[in-house]
Amino acid sequence: MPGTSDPIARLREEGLAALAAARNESELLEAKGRFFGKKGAVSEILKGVASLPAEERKAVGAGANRARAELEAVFEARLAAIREEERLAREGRDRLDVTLPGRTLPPGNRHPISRTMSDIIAVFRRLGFSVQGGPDVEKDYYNFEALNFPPEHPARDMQDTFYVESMDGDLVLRTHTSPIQIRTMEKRRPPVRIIAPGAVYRSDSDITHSPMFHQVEGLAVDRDITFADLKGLLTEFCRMTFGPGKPLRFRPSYFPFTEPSAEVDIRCVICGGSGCRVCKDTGWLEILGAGMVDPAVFGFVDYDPEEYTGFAFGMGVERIAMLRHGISDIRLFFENDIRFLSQF
Amino acid sequence: MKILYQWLREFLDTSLSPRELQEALTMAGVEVSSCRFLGAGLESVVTARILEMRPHPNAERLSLCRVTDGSSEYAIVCGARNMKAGDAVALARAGAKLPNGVEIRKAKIRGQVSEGMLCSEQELSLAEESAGILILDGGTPPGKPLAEAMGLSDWLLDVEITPNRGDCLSVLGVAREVASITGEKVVLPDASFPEEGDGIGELVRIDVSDPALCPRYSARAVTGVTVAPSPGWMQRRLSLCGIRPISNVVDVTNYLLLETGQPMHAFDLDRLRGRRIDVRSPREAMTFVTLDGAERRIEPGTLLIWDGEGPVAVAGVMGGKDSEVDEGTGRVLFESAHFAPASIRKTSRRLGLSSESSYRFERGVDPGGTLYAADRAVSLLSRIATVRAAKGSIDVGGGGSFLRSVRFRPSRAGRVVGKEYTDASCREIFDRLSFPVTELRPGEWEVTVPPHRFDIEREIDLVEEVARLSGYDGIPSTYPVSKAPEFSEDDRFQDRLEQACEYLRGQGFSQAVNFSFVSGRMWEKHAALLGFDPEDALRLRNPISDDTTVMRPHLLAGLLRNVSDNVRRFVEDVRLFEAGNAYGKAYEKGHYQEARLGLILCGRRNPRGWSGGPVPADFYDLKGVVESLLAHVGAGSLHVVPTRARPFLSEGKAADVLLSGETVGWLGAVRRELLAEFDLPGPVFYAEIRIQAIASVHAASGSYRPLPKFPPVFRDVACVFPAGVPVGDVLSMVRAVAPEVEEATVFDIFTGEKIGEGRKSVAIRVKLQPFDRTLTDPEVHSIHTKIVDLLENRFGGKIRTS
Repeated sequence: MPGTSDPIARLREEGLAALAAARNESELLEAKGRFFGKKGAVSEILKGVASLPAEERKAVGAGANRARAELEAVFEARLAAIREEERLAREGRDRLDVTLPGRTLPPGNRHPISRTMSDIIAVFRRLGFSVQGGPDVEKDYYNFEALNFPPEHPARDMQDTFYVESMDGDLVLRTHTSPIQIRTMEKRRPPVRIIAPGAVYRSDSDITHSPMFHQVEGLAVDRDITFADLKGLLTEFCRMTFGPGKPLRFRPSYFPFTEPSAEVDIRCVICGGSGCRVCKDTGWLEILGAGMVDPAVFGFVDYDPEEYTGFAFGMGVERIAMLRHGISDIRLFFENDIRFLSQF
Repeated sequence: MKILYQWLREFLDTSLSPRELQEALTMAGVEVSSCRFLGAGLESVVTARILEMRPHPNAERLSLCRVTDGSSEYAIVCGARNMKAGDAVALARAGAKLPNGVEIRKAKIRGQVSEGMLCSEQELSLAEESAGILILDGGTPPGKPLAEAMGLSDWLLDVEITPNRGDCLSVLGVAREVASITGEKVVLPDASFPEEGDGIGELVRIDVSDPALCPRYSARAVTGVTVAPSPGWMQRRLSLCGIRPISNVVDVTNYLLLETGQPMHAFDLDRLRGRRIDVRSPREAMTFVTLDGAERRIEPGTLLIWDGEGPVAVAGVMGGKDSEVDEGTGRVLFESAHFAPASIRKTSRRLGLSSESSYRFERGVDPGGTLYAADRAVSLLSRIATVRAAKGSIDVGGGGSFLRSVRFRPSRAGRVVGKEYTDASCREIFDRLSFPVTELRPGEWEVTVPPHRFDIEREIDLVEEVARLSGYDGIPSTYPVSKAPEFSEDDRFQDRLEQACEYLRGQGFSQAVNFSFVSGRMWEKHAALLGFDPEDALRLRNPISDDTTVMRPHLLAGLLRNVSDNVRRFVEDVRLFEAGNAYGKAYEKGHYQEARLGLILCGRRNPRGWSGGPVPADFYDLKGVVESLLAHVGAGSLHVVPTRARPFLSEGKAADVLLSGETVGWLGAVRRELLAEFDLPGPVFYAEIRIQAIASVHAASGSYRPLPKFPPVFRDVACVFPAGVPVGDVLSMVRAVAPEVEEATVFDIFTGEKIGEGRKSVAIRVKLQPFDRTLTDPEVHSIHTKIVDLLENRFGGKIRTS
């Protein structure tokens, strides 16, 4: 290693110091020019090599070239660092507060009843059912009689009915979406596979009953439709709605327009079956009523019960929404408080 | 209905525990919603004796009792008055916890220390109501656990009976149901008694003039009765099942009602004038005073029980005041009849009077069981009181057979349920039900149904029995064979509605759901403002409250209420929409409804924005939403025209929306007078759209047009118009000037002194798009000239040059 008395070594030292001292790109370029640019000190030495004695040429030439290469490398690294510093400084001045809210209209919220109803409909449409609507203001015939609720039958007490003032016969606010079954079957022959959503009305009001609420009704009629098919379909619906691994149980029950009839319970979504206040310690939650279409109903729409069988089912949308979202008071649905709506 | 487990076991020696019974009945369709051990929570309540009782010095209604539990004495302040020194009572000492969760503490009541509580049956959950504290049988020793002293090692089942299963409204009925599940046998309790004295025929004569409404009328009579309280065990069972004990004779009838489901009535035989009974309806309307003291109007067709001079009971519903059994009664006639269900229901509804009796008759009471119940009543009474039973019974209609036979094919059960049921398994179920079976031919049976099963008349009813009693659990889960789903008009409606809801959500609107019924009083009061036509309104005959009397004629009032409620809760910017029906006689013939979409908007244009300052939203914000919503669902060329037909919108700020000439909606600023009604200060904008109009639009097929190959030319023109010129009309006419005019848009509009009073300046940008060439300057100039000519000559404008 040559000593500091060596001019090349001295130039190298000075060059490195100058590069290190440069604070910006122009100072750096200036240092480069001074020491190892085309007209820099190192270049001058190399130019003078030819005039040196032969025995020194090689050593001086090699030493100068080495020094230049080293200075070049340091220069490049320093240049990159300075440019990066400058970029950061520049961009730092223009930095945005990325946490500031975006410029947009905040989206609103779907009502949980409407959302739940749409979800239910979507599941059944995927399973091959088509949508049917019907009127809220309904004839007694469709709401009761053709559904095998004879006049003076105690089954009519199952539903507290609102009656509508009318000159043309007995009008009621439908107490369930089941009249749509009759209206649909009156209009067409099997096969029938419909899903019928809508508002329904019963004269009842407390924290779990509202005088207006919503139901979704389903009906399938064809040759060879069985109760086993009903079980399969509803099991699939519950899996798609409440997620897998929730056992169901089908329990015999009574509706005038189906026989055999069932109530369908799902394993309590709150306690998982160990018993809680919501499931009244039974471990089960009732979510659906269902059954095979009663032959008497087919009689009203002129379907031959020996040829066709069918099933029907119905569920309360509010009840399902309450279970899904842990809502304990049904009245919240109809207050339309934005603080409530914005949670869904 | 309440069922006591031990009572049930008197009919059926079941091997099922109360919990197992709950599960088994529930899974067979007789839902048991709860099953409670009666002794539960009574561990800390003991029997005690009242040693001394005196008035509370500071409270007139309270008394001070000194009681003993056999080892210590306690001072108790008590609010009841039905006890006296020497009585055996139920004592909850300090620290005791009652079944209803109440914890008893030592306390000072009006200055007197009370070291516990003397309990009523209600407080111990042993009765639904009680008049005073529980007084135990005289011989009860103090210091014993109450449950032990009262024999409360029993379970109370709460059973929910569906309307088709009236036969299960009794201990006997539930026992039969258990038998049909387990195959165990029902044994009827002993109903025998010694007969003595007169024959019943010498005491009373009974006729049934209307056998259609009263197919069977059985009766027994007793004499030498001393009316007194019934024994504690009977009173307790009645109380636990929700019936108030009255006296031995009446309690026996109620006990039988609970036990066999047979409603009975006890007449004071000596108050039956003419010692005779007839069953028929009156020929003309009359009045009658029932047991509860109410005078009731009786219409022809109402079945009554008559004595020799007049009516004594409303058959199957309630007895009369005048023939009631009381302390003075010595001779009693027990009525045990079968009345036709529909007739009883009609009567009960007409009178607004429902009783344990009418509830059962409406649902069907076993016509085969009337005489057994009458016998059992006398048998029970003879065991709890000294009586002489008259010889024989009266049984009008008793000779008839009430059995039904129903055809059944085992293969039919398989077809409906989707599971094969063997002949043997069907036979086994009918055997458990005690339904005899006769094979008519292979695969076709005749099943005999006992009279208590009113719900079984058809083959499908038997299919249900087979399915439920072999268990729904065993039915496989299959999947209905799927045919290609149909796509209905209602599917399209649903899709469009879903699109619209999601679009509005993106526009910052939240969805509201309001009741379809509104306050008729409010709508009538503001009829002119709301555009309410009372003649067209659909009204409820039996509204649940004053706020829900009329079906809403449109959606505005509900949404205004929602805005007002939210503003009151400090929400400044409200954007709500509702998809629901409007109702009226005029809407869609026979259906009285029309689907609508209501949109309401108030507050700032950019809620929660942080740049550009708070600009209040206006008419054009809502109009923009309506236009883009309709475009979003594929309804193109709209016309928005001024309207005066919407009284709830401000004059000059109201418009109808037309699609292909048909009014599909309206929008505008809500009238100030209406806002004031809802305590809303600021402007509120409202639009309502007929959903059917957008659901029935078939979106344009969107056939391809070649893209222009030549550059467009833009021309701006500023023009001053009289203020009343509708800019929408100007734009549509400019667009029609030449085929090359592809677009005409407003990019600035202003008024002010510079322009002059009653005038406005409108700047319009026109885009000219040629199809087959580059436009030449003369061509552009020519079109521009036509536009200027239109603006000046047609609309009275003056081109601005600056």
